[in-house]
Amino acid sequence: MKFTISFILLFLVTSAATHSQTSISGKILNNAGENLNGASVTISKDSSGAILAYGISGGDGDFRIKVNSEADTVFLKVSYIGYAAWTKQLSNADQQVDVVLTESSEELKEVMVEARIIQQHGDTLSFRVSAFKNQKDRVIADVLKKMPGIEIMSGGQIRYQGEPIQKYYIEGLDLLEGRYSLANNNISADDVSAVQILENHQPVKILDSLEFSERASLNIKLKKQVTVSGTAEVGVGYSPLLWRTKITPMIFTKKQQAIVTYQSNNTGSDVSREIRDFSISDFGREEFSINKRDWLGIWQLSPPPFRQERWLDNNVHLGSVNYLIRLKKDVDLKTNISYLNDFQQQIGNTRTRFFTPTDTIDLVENTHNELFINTLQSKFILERNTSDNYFKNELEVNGFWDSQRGNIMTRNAAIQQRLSNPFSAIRNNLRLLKPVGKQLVTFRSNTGYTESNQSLNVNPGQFAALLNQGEPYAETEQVVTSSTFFTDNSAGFTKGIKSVTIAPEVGFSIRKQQLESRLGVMDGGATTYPNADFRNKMDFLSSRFYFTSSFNYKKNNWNIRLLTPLNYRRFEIEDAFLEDARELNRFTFEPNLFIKKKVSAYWESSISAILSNDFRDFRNTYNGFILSNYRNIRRYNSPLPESFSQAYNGRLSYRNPLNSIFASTSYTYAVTENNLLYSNQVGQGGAILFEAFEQENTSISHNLNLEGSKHFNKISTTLKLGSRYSLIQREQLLNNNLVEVNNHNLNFSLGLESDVSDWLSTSYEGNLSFLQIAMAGRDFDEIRSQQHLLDLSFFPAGNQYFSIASEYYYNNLSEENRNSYFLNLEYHYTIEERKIDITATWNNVLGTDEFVSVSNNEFTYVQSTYRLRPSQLLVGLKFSF
Amino acid sequence: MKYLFLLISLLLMPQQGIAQKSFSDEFKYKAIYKLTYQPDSTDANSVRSEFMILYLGEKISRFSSAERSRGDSILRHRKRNRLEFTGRFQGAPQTKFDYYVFKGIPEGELSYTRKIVKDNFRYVQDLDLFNWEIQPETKEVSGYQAQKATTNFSGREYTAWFTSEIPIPEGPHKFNGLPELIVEIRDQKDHYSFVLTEFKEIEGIPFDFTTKDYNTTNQRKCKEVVEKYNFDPFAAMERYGMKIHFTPEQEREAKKEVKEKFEKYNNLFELK
Repeated sequence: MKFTISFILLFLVTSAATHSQTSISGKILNNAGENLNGASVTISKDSSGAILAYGISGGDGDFRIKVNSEADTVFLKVSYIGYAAWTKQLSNADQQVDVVLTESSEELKEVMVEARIIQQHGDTLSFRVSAFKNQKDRVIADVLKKMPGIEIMSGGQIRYQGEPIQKYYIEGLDLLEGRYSLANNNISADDVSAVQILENHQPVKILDSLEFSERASLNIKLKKQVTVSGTAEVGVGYSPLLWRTKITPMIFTKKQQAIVTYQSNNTGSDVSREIRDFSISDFGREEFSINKRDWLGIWQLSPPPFRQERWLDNNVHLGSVNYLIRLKKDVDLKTNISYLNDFQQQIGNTRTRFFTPTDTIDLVENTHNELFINTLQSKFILERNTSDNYFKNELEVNGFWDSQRGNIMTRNAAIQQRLSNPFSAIRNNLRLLKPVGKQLVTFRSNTGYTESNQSLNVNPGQFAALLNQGEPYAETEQVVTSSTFFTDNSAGFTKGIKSVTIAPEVGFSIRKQQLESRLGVMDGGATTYPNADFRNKMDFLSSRFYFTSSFNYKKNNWNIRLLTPLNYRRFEIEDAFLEDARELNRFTFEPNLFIKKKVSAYWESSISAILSNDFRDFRNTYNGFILSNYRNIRRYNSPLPESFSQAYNGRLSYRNPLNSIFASTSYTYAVTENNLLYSNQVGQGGAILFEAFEQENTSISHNLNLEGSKHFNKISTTLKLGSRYSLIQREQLLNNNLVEVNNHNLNFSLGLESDVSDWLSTSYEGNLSFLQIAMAGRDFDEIRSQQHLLDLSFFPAGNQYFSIASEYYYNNLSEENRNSYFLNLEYHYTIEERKIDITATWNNVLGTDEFVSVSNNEFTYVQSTYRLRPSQLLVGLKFSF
Repeated sequence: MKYLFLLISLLLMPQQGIAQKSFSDEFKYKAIYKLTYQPDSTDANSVRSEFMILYLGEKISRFSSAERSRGDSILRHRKRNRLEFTGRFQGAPQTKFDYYVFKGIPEGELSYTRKIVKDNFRYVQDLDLFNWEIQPETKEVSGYQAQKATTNFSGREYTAWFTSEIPIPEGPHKFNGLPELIVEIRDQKDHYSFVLTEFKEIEGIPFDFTTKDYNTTNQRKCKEVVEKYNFDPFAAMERYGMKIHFTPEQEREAKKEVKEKFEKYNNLFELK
């Protein structure tokens, strides 16, 4: 570096004391005899010592340095970029030194101080992917689950500091709208530079400064501006014949994004998780759900609480197309279409022990179920989200053509169940925000329709005492036809006045539900229909006028939000089999308060209080019995269910990106007053008669959550700890006696992900839970269960790894099979230049063939034995493009 | 001495304006510093940071914020896409240090440039601003063995660490004159600090500078203009014929907000 500094000869005096001063001067030239200016000349005591004095050569290559030192000799060093350094030991005396530097190609030492693992910029935390990724990690979900503060639940939902994330963006675009598992499980970790957590993220840009949000969103930052990638995978195995295929092309640009996938397997991988929707609704809004809900069902086996690959007997095909295009100015068009076809089998048995205050009843059911799943889900979204305008229209059309068959062998009967449970739904959701004058005018409209015509046939006939004067008969047939139409429209405005934003809104909603059902007794080729007690023909109209004001205050470190919804609700029920129409009018005030304070850069605390009234829908108001499954028959021959709830929550969270510590704790207390109690009458064969009675009652729940995680950078380890406690107290009618039920649940979890060394990485997950039920003052045996998962991966070379996955489950209740062990082996080889992965997997090496789990509710202990997938071998090829 | 140089540069200024000198060089090394600063001297929680880039050529070096550099013409080919989430992220580079320091323009001096709305102001200072005192302590900074030196500059006392492993007498901001590269420098109160986070050789980036692109003035005048702009950016913009169509209420709000920000930003880098 040559600064043609015309007259710079800097000299220094290291101390005020007067020493003998010497002057060393000279000239610096290169091989060609040219003057070098800008060369640095330093004088030190010896070759390694600190600098005593220095100078920089001037335009003519001259330098002059005054040295204040009593040392006899000094060390002179001349250096210049592109030249080898020149050094010499000199006597500490006035002298002239001429230096000729020779060129050198030696490079300067370069450094790159790695950016922090977690960087904070305002409300954005960036987690550097490379710091968490190891050789085994393929997709971004593998890396995400190691990041402190972030966890992926077993269904695929992502949480940050214990709360579900609101949006999953890819480069700032929301392609998948809640069905983010598809991206999370397919985007290659190598394509991602950082995962960003956007705390307090308001997804509606125009509301950014007006309404705060306490929810966090996640953004995937890709390495390249245009990413075209994808994977194709095939695998075959034995036994029986197994296959697995998957092809997932993806493209991400600034204007367009697409993820397309086709997946098929019979290896137990539940690909329907990839399209599970985790969208969350806006604050304090009653939204109509179009989720599928079944009236009827066959008797299901409770699935083991671990990886589906161990137990799911499936035959699945999934196709999904997701496309986003930015049309003209900031208008995004999004299309998400998914089709799922699956055939699943469940084999196992259930031993149920019913505890009643007077008796215990035992029931053994050997079950073989077949489930046929056929689902088409589609979403079309047009959205404009800019800082001066918001428009979003979302049209959703879903169809489910499902059916199930079940065979049950009890000690003395063989029961066959046939279920047809289709469901279809359409919904349009519109939201508009537009500035008019000094305020924002808002408009919402949500309209939809769902329909379900379901039937259940059970052979031989059930509930003979109730339905056929105690005479056995051939078959019970339950038919249910239901539909729901709803529309909810509201208008309001939003206005910011200093630090307060006020948003009043008026709205009107209608929900019209129709239910028809009929229980038939089929015997000797004829079907008879018992009396009106077993039929329904009901119209349920509920309407609501509401006036809601929302107040948002944001200043300094305070965030306060108050919603004050005033509702006038009207319910009208007309039942063809009842003389009188039922009617109910209620005026309710259901406020919702949230206060948050940022205590310091790391600590944050919040409290919330919510009062709400709940009036159920036609599912809880039908008067005629419906056989919901072969041994449950239920009705609600009672007034409209009403409940009033209060919920209070306090939360404290800590996050320190500097030392990668994340922790949070929350406590929730809720009281619900209900006007109805439900009774279960357990009959001799374990058949349950369910009815509702008018009886004021209260239920109380306490929930305490603690969790914390830390990443240790030096040892590449993430530690996650958690604990949950809940106590639920409620009253229950059991065989005509009113009893209090207390449910204590305590859970501890520990997770550890560690890259121990270059050749070994390990992950451990442990879970302890304790469950204690007390009914009518009587304690039942405590249920203790444990889960331990340990994975060890060895990396003998950069392109291959070998992993051992072991699992251990324990419960104290079952008499046999208290302990279950599993082992999986996997070998992975990568041909890097071709981007091909070869895998060989041996699942369930120990050949564990069944799993026993215990569960319970207020009055039963259930021990289920589930047949698992056998020991299986699978080889696969995976191409990345 | 400093004032003498100022005076000299003041005297020389008109000639320079007429002379329209051009300078060119090729940047060969890049050093990135993390600047951590406390805009409100009374509030330790106001600490912020951003990255600054020093490009080093044979005769000329250029120092600016990484954000500013991002939108820069010479780096256009490697300009990266940045997320646009909310209004906050849009538009102009997000930097509180929107200036350049060109050391070696002109020879033996430095040019400080600052763009206000449409005008690019420049003032020239002698490079010899610092009276360094070398101290015996050494420590490791960002992987380099560095030695301590102290100086006073613009009302603050600084401690610098320079490394013999990079024999370039350079540093962040206007700092220079130590025999080797400054890898860390911070003031005594720790209100401003620069720490090297990256140093590497780069493929040469050609660089040109023409004085005619700038409105050459002096440091005092430049500071005045900047302060005036920070105090009331709307008025400054209006002077350039740019008008924001605010309602009276919005205007009051906006002005109030700017004023509050201005008052909180009480801890300028160069105090004098």
